[in-house]
Amino acid sequence: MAEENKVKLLGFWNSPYVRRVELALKLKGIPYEYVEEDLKNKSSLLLKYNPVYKKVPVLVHNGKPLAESHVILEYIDETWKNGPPLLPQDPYKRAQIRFWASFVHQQLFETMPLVFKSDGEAQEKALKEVFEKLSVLEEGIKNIFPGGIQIIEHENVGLLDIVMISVFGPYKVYEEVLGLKLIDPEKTPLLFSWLTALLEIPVVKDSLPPHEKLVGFLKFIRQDALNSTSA
Amino acid sequence: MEEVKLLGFWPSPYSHRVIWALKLKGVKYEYIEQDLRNKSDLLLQYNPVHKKIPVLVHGGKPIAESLVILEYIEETWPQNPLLPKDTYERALARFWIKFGADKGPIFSVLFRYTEEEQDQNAIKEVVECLKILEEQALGDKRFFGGENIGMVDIAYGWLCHWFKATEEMIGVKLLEPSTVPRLHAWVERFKQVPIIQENLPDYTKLLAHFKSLRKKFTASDQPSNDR
Repeated sequence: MAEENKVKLLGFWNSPYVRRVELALKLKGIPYEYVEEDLKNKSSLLLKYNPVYKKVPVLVHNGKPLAESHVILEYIDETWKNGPPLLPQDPYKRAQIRFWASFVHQQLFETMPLVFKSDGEAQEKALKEVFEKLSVLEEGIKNIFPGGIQIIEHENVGLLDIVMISVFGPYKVYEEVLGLKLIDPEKTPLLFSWLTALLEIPVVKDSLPPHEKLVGFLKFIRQDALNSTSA
Repeated sequence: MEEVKLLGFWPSPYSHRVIWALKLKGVKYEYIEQDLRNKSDLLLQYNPVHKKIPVLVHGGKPIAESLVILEYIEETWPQNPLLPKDTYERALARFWIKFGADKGPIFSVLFRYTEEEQDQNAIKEVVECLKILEEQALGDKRFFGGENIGMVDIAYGWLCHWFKATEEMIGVKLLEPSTVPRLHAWVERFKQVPIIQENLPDYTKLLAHFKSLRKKFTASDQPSNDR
């Protein structure tokens, strides 16, 4: 790797934010050095490179650190122009991508934990909210995929696909842990075909955390949360 | 030149971000005031997902979410750039804009602060945030954007009238020359930029609006993004 273009990524195996950045680097064919962080014992490197949040991912490009996955994705897109673009050229289309990426992140990703950490009425309420938002997303992306989705090529995977995969790529794991259908081909056919098409792409499929490991992790999180709230 | 419309709400800092960006770039637009207690068909049509302002409509195509709108404005009207040319510096600008968005809830908690509750944690978190902004984002620069105001300054524009009104309403002063001198100086400098000065809500009206909002919150304890 040429010294002038050294890329390091500080990450954690189970961070969806880190997965976004890794996928972007892989899609663009950018070589990088990966450093796994122990989040219970943060390295001095992490604290030095991300003093504000002390979190992963942190991308270090030629010694210059950047944090926050959305910021990093846009930086990657602007800096490595020869790989496939992560955002379209047209400003209006870019705005749509950014809007929906923000929606997936804020409206869906941030409400998912409650679904895992609750049961009974609380869980029903959280699930209802998630399903409502999935419907909104289903409707909203009709403008982005006007002809529906059959096949997605490697070079057409962009920022919104990356964010969607980071949140819902492991949806089969969630369905297994929760014992219910989350991405239903009947209720949200476009979302279902979108995820299916993305997961056909090898580099995307490989970006998911190992199935059993994630099942174990989520079951533990759920048990732990339910134990601490029970009388 | 395609028509530009802005659906806004006079006390909203988010609305004002868009106004400042459009005016700094000399973009002509039609402003349409919205009544958020009685949302217009236009608003519901142009922002069916969130039903919120601001919404920019360019050539009939709507864009919602103030930070998404700011990036759209920057890309569509490149004159008087609001983001640095250098990609690393741009990324840093976006980082600080995101920081402000992430810390939003901390400032919302402050809005509902009462002396009886003695929520010193809310105060502490806000002060910490202001200090980080001063030390790491602003430093010794005139503006977050350097010599001239940029997108980061616009994103933090709510620190002038809106934060000041919050401080006055809850009776606690936090953004002071004694606590964050450089940030305080930035607020004064920012307010004096002609485009900003000419496009701020009336302070007294804003304070009255905040007071009436607070009465609603403390009564129902429901957060709102309508301001």
